[in-house]
Amino acid sequence: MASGRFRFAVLMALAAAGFAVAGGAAQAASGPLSLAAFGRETGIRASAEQVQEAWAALESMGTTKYLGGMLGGLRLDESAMIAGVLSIGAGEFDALLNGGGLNTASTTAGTELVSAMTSAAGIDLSYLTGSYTEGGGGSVSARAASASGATAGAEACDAGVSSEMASNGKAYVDGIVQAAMSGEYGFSKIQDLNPTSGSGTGFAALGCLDKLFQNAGSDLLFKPPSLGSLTTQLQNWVCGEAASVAEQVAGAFGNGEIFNTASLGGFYPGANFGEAFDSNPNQRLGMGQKAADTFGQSFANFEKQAKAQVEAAADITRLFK
Amino acid sequence: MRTSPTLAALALASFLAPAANAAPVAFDASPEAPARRIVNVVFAQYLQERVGASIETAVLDLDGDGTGEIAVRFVHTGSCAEGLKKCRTAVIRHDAGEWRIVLDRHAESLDFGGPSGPLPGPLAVDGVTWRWGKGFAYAPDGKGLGTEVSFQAVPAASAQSYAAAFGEGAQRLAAGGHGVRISYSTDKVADGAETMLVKMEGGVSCGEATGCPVRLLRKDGDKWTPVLSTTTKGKLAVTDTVRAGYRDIVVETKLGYAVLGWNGNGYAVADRFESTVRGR
Repeated sequence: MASGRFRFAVLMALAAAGFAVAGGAAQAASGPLSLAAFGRETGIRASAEQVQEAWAALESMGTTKYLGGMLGGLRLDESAMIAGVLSIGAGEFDALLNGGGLNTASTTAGTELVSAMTSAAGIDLSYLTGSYTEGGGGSVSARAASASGATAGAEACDAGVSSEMASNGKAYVDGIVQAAMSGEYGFSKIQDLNPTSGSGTGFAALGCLDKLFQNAGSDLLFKPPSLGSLTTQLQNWVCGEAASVAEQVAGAFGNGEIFNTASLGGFYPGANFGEAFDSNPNQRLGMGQKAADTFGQSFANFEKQAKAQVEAAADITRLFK
Repeated sequence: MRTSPTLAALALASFLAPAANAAPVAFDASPEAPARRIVNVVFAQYLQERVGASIETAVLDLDGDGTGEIAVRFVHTGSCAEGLKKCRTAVIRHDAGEWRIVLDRHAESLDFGGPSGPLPGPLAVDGVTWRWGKGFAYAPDGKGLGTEVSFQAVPAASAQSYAAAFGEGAQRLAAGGHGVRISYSTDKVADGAETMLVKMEGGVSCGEATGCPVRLLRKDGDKWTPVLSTTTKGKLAVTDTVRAGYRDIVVETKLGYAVLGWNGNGYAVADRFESTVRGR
């Protein structure tokens, strides 16, 4: 079944949709007018009872844990999630958010789901749900403008907050790199993972380390340079190449200059790293372009670790002792 | 434009009338055929990619308004299947100032019984009746697309265990009530394997875009394994076509019907009987 591809397509469509926040989003207060706006924007004529039923279903399934999270650039709020339920059904929507596919033979379902969720986002249905998540929907285009330094939009952080987030982000990545290189958790322990005992299954048992690379934050699609794919490659490659991969891990984030985005309107404004966002036009390297053309000089001039440092960190004897 | 009660009644009669008296549409392969000029424009891009295609046209008056609609058949290796027998066949209609594709399908035969009201009359495409639909285009009526599966309700006490087939979320949904109803069918789907079709309905289990979730479970040892996860907007049928021991399954989509066939590892879409979305 090609449901995975379907899910990816849905998510990319969400990312590409632009998310001009629905007209219904600009409401003074939640009430019957909000429900009317929901119907008008999404095309789904749902009664107050149906909306409440959808919300109750999300709560029962535990799907509300995704509130405030990012789905392909769309910040999930109550109304977007309710629109998702009413579009494809509660169980299917929960499965989709939990990493499943869109299980349908319908060719239009993905488009309709994306349209309904993006149109609904931002509409305050708190009089039916009891809660309202600020910032639902978001706007890719606004963030792109912010990233180019054009404006510090509503989403841009205060300079102090941004600086703090930048510093935390750098510390986070430094920690991950350190963990990957460490003798305690890192590649050097690979041989110690006995594939035949307990739950350890060789590289698969690096799940805990891989978790470190998963974004603990908000974007369901945030995929930092995949440790899974790197370790798979390490498993198959000769040792010389393994050192090169380790160097990529260590060098991918440079000296941290990339985190200094305060002047651009915030921490990673409009930026989404990872495989799922390879087609993001804001970051894609064009034909003949250099990294600096896309990311700016601060990225291009990052300080690579000296070869000796990398070799020491990725010492083959330690890696595969 | 307001429709008079008489016209509305005629329209309904047209909609309900079967294509019983349908006769094969007589296509003309002549390059001088009057409809060719229009076809060349409407399908310009398509024809550019199929140099040397034989274009067969026919002028029909589907709605009896004295203005012709055009049926076209493209005969080309890039337009046909099964040894140039099933070829792309389309019907275009002039509406709201432009020519719109109101039927588009790979077909061997096209039959039309004549207009019977102000709305375009039904067409038979390879024996399946297509009727004028709400989307200002033809949609299949579903008759003849397999034998409808007969479902029976799962007892409330067992609903939660059946719900597991739909995932953890669905299981929690069923456990929490929410008006969830689960039904099952043991109608024969596979040769030599015990299978069960399970459908979830009720409450907010079904969606506007997709319909209700359906799973095909196969008994492997003492466990039931899902081998198909799909949805249906209504009809669920099995056909007589068998692929590697598994029958084709027909599900209803928003635009018509999809036929799912076994590809050796799982079910995939084998054919679609769906309305064109380009009607208007």
